[in-house]
Amino acid sequence: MNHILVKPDNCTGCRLCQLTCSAQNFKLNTHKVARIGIVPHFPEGRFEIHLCNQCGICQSVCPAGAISVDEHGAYVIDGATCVDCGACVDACPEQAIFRSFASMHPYMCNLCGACIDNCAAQALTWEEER
Amino acid sequence: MINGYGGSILRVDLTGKLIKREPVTPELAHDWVGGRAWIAKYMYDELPAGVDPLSPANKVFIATGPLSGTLWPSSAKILWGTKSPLTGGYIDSNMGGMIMAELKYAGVDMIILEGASAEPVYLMVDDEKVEIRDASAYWGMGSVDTEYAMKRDLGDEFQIATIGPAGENLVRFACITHDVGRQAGRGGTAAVLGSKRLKAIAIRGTKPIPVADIKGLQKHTTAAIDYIKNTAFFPTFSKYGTTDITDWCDDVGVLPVNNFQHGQYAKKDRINGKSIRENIYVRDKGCYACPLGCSTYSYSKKYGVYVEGPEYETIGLMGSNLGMDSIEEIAVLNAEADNLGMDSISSGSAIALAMELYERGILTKDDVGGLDMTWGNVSAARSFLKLIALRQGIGATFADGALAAARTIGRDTEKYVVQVKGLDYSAYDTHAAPAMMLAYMTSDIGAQHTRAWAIVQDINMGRESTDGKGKLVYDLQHLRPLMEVLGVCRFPWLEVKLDWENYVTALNLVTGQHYTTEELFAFSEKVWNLTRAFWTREVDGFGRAFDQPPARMFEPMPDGPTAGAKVTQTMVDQLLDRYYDAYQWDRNGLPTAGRLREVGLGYVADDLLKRGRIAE
Repeated sequence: MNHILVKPDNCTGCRLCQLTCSAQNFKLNTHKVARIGIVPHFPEGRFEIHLCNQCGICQSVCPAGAISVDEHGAYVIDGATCVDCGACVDACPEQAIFRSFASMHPYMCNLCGACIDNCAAQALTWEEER
Repeated sequence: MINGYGGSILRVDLTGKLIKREPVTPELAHDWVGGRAWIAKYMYDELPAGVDPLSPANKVFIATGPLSGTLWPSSAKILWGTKSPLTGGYIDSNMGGMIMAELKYAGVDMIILEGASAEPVYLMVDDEKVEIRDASAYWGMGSVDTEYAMKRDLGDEFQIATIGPAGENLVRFACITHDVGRQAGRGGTAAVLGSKRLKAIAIRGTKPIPVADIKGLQKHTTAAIDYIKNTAFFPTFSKYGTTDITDWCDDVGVLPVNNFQHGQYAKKDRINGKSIRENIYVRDKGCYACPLGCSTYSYSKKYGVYVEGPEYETIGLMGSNLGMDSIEEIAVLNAEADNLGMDSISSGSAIALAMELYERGILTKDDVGGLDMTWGNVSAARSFLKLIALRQGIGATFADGALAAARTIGRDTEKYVVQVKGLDYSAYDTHAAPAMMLAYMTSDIGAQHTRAWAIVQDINMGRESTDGKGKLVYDLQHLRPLMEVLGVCRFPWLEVKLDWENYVTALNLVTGQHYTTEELFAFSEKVWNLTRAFWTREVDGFGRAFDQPPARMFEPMPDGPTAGAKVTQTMVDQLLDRYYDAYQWDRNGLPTAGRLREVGLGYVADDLLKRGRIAE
């Protein structure tokens, strides 16, 4: 099983990961529907990266049992079962479950890895089983 | 919906507080593409001839291109164009950061600012909601401070561009700031905003940019990034950015020192890219969709200031050119120029002129408000900056630009101003660099390196020679504008050698059109003729006399690797003749009516003929 290793110190805040994610997963040119979050903090000068690390807390808090793990190890919210209560969004310690107009239900990283290819700064890399 | 475009132009009348949304037509998109070309066209078509740049009748055109805000690498440019209060001619100045994407997500490709408000205002674009709002709470605040304050008030998701006290006080080289430290730096665009009492523009948008082939664009982008990150150039440029060239410029003797009196700096190791990493580096920072992340965000412990940069041009103009001791001094000057909202290049040039005149005894201590304007005096330089921004004392004279200041001071001081068309030289000495000098001489905004950056080829082709250099500058002036027509940064092409054809492919994937390089280069020639036509219309007697290098270049370089080198009028004339020939302009450097018609500017030819500005 793969995980994505996050190195915020390397992040330049360019949002190519988000643009790539949105293109790959929603066929949209925007950074605003991505399954990854980048939050700049200035003037101190740092970027927070919000990305699912497969901790599974969302699954444990979901009252509808809508969250499962797919064959890649990614957590997935089943649209048919999800009751849109927002418990997973609130409980996620990484603030890595997102809502946007691109989907009826919340969503998180699906481990497609498209962002990794386009992160030249290597703030995102594949990490083998921890 | 037109692929690659937000779809509308916002026309904002600040006098009547009226906002109109005009559609981007398929003809405008296809025939004029975007960015710099739109600015050149709208400026020629809509500005009344001879308009005073600081009057309500001047307009500001803020334009993106079809690639701005897209996934394509470094698609992070927005351009600010107006009739320049510094030069009296055409200016567009481009800015990186994030705001170009936000504007297109709000469904807007260009904003046209007209008229002038009586009281301080800011423009808020929040998708369909567009408002002119009271800005009295921010008036008087620094550029960067205003951005932080407005983000606190409006929310972090807004992207904001601001002016500082210098813009408010109509300093003719005031700049527009965004994303902490990205500037539309040159030509005084912020003074025009100041004259309109427009403190800031805040933008939030939620609509994705329509792309004809998003899958194809993603594939093309990933291939380009794979190329970029595996080049030998990438590790160095992403680490040092523009400052990487400092050592080379010093080696070949083109680093400006003490107002371009020398080309090599004894303290070079204290101001170069390496000194940034060792002394003030906080982190790398990237513009939108940029894999290069060339910007450095810094903190000077010595002065307690954050600054984005310093970039190479600031190191040159505010560092070696002022005789500053180390990168810390440059950082504090840069930070203060940024927050006052002043172009660090022209600010450096103005301070350098004041220091040279002081050292020569032409300006006395009394003249300069009691400051000891000796080379390297950072506290005097900081005070001088503030005098300019607030137009106090001698600062009021220099606030009109170094050339205007020399004309006011008189006593044959104009010869010490290193400029073309009133725009101060950026950081490449041209005592022995004919192509770079020709690029400065013929740039359509004045002496700015980004219109054609020929210094490396100059050295490689033989710096004493003028052979092939007219053609070189002509060719660069065809490729460079296209970057700003499309709305992308030039650095992936320039610094890591991403082939130009990749940009044409990206443009076609985004727009669904079938542009070719040949067609785009012909279009570029049309745009270059149009900005030349604007100068011809606006400036009495415009022509060859305005394409001359500064007097300093005719003085022999006293020392360093170019010792003894100087420019001669014969060389200048030879360069200009070949350059005008390449454009098929007349010997006075004016486009002929016939040539204007050939490049598709018949209406401009008719207009200039009617005004008696050109011959048939």
